[in-house]
Amino acid sequence: MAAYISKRLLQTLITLLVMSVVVFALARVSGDPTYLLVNQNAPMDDVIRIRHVYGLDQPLPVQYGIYMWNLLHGDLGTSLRTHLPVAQEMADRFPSTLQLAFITVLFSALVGLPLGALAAVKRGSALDRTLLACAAVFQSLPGFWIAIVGVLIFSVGLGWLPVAGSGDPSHYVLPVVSVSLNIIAWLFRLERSNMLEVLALDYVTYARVKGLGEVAVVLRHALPNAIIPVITVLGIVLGTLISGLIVVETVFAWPGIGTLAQEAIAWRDYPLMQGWMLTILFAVAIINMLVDILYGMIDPRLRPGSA
Amino acid sequence: MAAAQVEISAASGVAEATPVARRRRRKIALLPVLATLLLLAFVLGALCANFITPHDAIEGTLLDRLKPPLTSGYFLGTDVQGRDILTRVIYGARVSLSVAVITVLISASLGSLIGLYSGFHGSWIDGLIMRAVDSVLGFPLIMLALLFSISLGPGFATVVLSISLVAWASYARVVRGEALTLRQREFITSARVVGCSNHRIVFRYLLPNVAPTIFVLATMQIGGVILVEAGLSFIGAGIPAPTPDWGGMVSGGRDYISTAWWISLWPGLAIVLVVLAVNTLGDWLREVLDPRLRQI
Repeated sequence: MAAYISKRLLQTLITLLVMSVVVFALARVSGDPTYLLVNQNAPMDDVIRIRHVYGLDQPLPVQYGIYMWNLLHGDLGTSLRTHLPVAQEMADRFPSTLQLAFITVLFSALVGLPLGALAAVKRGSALDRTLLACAAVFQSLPGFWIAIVGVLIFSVGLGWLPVAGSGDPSHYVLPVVSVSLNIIAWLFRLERSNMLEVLALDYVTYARVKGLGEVAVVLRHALPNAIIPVITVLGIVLGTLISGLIVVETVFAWPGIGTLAQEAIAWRDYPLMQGWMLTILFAVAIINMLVDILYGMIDPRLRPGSA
Repeated sequence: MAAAQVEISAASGVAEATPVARRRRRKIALLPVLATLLLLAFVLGALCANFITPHDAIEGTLLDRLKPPLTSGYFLGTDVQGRDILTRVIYGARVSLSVAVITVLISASLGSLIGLYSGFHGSWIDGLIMRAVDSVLGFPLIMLALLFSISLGPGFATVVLSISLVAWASYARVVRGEALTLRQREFITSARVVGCSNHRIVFRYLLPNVAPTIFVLATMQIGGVILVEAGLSFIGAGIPAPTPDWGGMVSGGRDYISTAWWISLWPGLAIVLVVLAVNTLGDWLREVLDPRLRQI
């Protein structure tokens, strides 16, 4: 297990290194940042001085070296607008995005997975057909629109839920539900087909032949094997949400990194943009690593050394 | 190879229709017909938008701003600038459908080519390509789209480019998997024995066999692309105003939600209807053409 974890750690380090190059390249592809720092009509002397101060007059590999050196010291640069360290801005906002993403994944899994298993067990029944139809509709709903319609009905119309912002649990209801519907539909369909596949396997038939009750067959024998593949998917969903939440964050003025990124774009605050990209890519890489390690703990076949 | 065969037989074991399922499928065939009709209506609307509506999609009548639905002349109401919302919803179908179709065409052909090549040739190239596919699928699409809209300027081409750059990877993965198993089959070996070139084998023998899979994947992806495009336009990284676009229209009505709910409601409903219709068709096609793709 230790060998497996260290191998996975090494892989993640390599991924992070590649990601740092990608972000550096992307930030440079989007144009020379000099004129984001100084006025278009600034005197040449000022332009040259600014380029020197920010290291923009150095060759690209040297610039990458400086950037990596700063990165390793936890320095993501300074926001052009607030003049605060980008690392600090990100650290302030990241927890509330992560929290929203986490609650969304948890909620979607708690609704989608049991229903998926249930639909598979009751395959072809009225319940199964109703759930499938619901999933088809849920899959077609744009989250941002559901968020707005939700505000219209529950905040403006009925006055039950707050319009925007974060704070007590009621602030979570609309953002979480509006993002969840798509994910619930996806997890439901995935779990349903996993479960159908497992239910058709020989060992399940054997458990039935042995005389076990249907409840025991489903809960003790089929369900665990039909749930395991979903863990990876949950990791992917969590990773996608960290950047994807930007859409609902905008609707609800959620104080996460999504709204921060929107501000960064509006102000052409490129160190902040770069910091946002790095934060997301690093978070995704680390989530993937944790999911793989978790997977290895649950399923011994994946560890190195086993056939 | 053995493992892949086991996988397929296990899956087709599931797909084997019980009498109940078979009866159900025949009854449900009404849905794809409805979906096709709905989709046709939207396509026709998109094509003939100029002839259907007397209003202009971009220039509004300021005297008629924020009129509620069912006002005479404005069936679905007007927006802040006095533009007819029904007109803009019809014109919006143009943007949504063409972005979706072009993106899917690009990513399906590119991804399938790469997948065929990767699966057929194998060796280290295959490993490298699959690594690339994994990292592309893990790359946040929204981030890429935002970055492109800043550096290249927002617009139709930018949206198509950024979605295609991510979307090809799922075709590459699925087609590669199919090509890998097909490669071992006897008809490929005999083609090689007869002296067919690699090029001929890939295009005349492999491609026709994976075509149904590609077709199903593409249909199922259209809905997803429409949703992504609308989301991008909603956050301002997609199609810029004043072009009528469903995502942009929903966003435009956001600040008026408590007084003029219709601005955001109708374009969102249009998205839901189109995506639902395409997904229904996709599900049906998958059922008919390729039961093995169930999980996707």
